[in-house]
Amino acid sequence: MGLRLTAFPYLCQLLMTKVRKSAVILVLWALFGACLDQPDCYNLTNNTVNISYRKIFDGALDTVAIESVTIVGFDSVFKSTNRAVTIPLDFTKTGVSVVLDAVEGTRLIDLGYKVQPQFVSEECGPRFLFSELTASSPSGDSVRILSGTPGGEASHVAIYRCPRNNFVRLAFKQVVDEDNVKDTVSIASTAANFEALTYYPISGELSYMNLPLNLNTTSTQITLELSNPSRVATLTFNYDLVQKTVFQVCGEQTFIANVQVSSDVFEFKKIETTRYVADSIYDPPKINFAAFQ
Amino acid sequence: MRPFNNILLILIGLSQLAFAQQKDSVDAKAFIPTGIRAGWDLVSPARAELSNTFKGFEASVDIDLYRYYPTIEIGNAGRNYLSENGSSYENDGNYWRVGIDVNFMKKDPEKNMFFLGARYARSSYSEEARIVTTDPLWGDYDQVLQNNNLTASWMELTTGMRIKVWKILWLGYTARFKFAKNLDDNVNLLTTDVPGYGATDRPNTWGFSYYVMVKLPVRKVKTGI
Repeated sequence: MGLRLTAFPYLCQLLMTKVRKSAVILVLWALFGACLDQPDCYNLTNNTVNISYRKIFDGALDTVAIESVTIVGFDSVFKSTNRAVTIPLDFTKTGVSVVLDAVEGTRLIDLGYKVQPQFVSEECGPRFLFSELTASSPSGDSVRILSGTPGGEASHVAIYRCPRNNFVRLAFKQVVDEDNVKDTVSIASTAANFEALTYYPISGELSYMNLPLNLNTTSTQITLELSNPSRVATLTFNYDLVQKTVFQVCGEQTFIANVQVSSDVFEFKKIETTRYVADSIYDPPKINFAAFQ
Repeated sequence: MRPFNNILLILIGLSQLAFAQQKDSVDAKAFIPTGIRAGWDLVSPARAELSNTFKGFEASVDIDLYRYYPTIEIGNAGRNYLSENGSSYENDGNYWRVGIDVNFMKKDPEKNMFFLGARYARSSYSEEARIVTTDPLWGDYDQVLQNNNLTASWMELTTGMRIKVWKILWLGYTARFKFAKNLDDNVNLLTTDVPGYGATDRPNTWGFSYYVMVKLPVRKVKTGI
């Protein structure tokens, strides 16, 4: 008991000494820390919006042949790839109108947002914080906000493309030991008997092709110039045209059904699975026919 | 209500921690205060002296209820920044904190303290900024923006010491971890600094006060062992 009574004041004194020392250290730390407690000045304004293209059928990223990206009222042309464009936002307004010129046509996207200035520090100056992003399309495209806060690498706005309803897919096959296996065909050029926008791939050592069908008639002729050996193959597609509304935003579209194909060089076999039927069109295209030489 | 729930949880936790260490029964008389202690922060005037961007003061009052010290702190703070490009910012406001400290040196005859505690804090302030920028695409921007009568709240976890130096004179410090800040962000100008909290660019921050204090006794305390 006596030991406890004499030890207690000693321990308290020891503790008090440590307390005084720690207080001095903490004061110095506080003053030093105040100097270091400055924000980074890099990339403070989040004024970029990334717009990506997606297929309305499955939501997957789409490839679009972009010719130019501009903002209404400004001459500058902005950065774009075949899958996305990056737009800087105007901090003096609460909205911009973006014009996306692509091979398939022109899209107009109106972006709205909230912008709030903030003084950051004496070293960094001010910044503008963008938030509450909205998007609409006067040109009738389906647009959706993926992230309401601009800035960074993520996609903020998705433009959903209405289904391309006229591509049929051929897969080149050969018979080996009674099995159908993949074949490649050397194609020098491809042509259709109507003015088609794109069809890809168009030439090279190909194992498959996506070929466009004319939605204004019930028949399309495709000419393939083959090499090794050199010859010309004519493919004739016959089909029915059906009007229907699949996606409300896209309105009534013309779809193809009951596709039949014949050729002077190839023989065809319908490819059907439990999920797809051979004589209808899908986006992205599914294999409708296997083509045997 | 969320900040109040947070402080309630923290206080319950601290109380349980304190009671867990309590082996002897406590006389009800121990809960009668021995004095009211008022303190003046020395860090604020030191900061104002060292930095021409800050001005402010802070005072604290606490009272002892056995090992529990209900505490009120009040202060005033202002900032004045000027950037090289002509942008500027200034604010001014009052703040208060209310909470409790739990003393872990319960057997110290002088009632010196090593404590853990919690605070709920609230600030009322006004601010003004001149925002100047030049952008190659969008052009020049030069506007003066104001926010008046804004409020902000936050929570604090505290730790520190209180040491009796001479008779009624005490010294002590409080280190604070500030979190759960709640600002009004539906404004034309985003807040840069909240009086009492500090810069708003991070979700959590810290603070430090060093008090010189006077304890006015309200009853005689037995000293010695």
